[in-house]
Amino acid sequence: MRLPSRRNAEGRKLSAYLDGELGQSEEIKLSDRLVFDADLRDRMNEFTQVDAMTAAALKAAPPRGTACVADKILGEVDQMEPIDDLKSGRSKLKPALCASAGILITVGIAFIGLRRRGLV
Amino acid sequence: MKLFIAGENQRIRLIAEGDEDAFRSLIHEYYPLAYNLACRMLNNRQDAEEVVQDAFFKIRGAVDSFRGESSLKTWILRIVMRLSLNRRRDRSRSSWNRLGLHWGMANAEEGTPDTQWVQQSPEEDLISRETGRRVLALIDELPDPLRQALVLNSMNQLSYEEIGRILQVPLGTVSSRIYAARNKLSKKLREQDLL
Repeated sequence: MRLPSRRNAEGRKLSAYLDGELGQSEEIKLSDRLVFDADLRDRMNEFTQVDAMTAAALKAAPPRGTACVADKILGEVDQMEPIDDLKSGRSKLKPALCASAGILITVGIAFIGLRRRGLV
Repeated sequence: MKLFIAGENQRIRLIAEGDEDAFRSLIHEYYPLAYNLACRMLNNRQDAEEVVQDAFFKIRGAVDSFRGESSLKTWILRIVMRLSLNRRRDRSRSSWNRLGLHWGMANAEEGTPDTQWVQQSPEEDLISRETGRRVLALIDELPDPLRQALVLNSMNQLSYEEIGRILQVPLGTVSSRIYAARNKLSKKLREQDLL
């Protein structure tokens, strides 16, 4: 029975091996071990099966025609305001909003004060 | 349509200047890959289409900010991944999702499941449509970082290095996450007698 930490380290190597992401020397070492180590081979088979099932389950339906998608996106982009205008519009809007909010708050406070004194 | 043999930087410059052909060529080149990722992340064709369209709007608007530190492919996929995660979060808050009604409903009009469970090859014939749904549900239960790594790795077109750039994590983390995802999934599949 292998220690859990060693098992994890081996598992990581197997996983990278399966993806062809192991360095050349590591790959050769692991290939050799797979010939003689039945436990390692079993784990490799298990990962291969998991991979096949994952790939089959996640197989995405092909996209609908990209030409019409491109037209749709470009059509909507044309309808959008240019980004510079949006930015400048937003920057003009912000001070106006702040000023309006400030006036409303001042009027509200004044109104409450007058009401408390019974003047309204 | 013009052929864009020029490098990525020139294409980016043209898109930023509003060249429609350059943007169209970008969509033609990357839409299938982006859609593939969104579909795998969301298991829902309509959501995937909306997310990818949204991604290309954002790309069009933010193309100036592309600095060329990563490839155009990983930059686009990072945007798609982020939007897909947002969509998943929004969806998980909806009662539709909490009741589990989203499974298999995406393409009701076409009578096909969300991520297409197509039985094309003898290997795929070994796995039934129902098993496919169960595997998808198990993948869906994986913690977000593990699922993202597994999904990106399942696309077969991305190296660990590219996955690292998309997820903005080091190479070692990519390798650990993919292993952890496979390991967890393998245990769950065994528990459900699917392996």
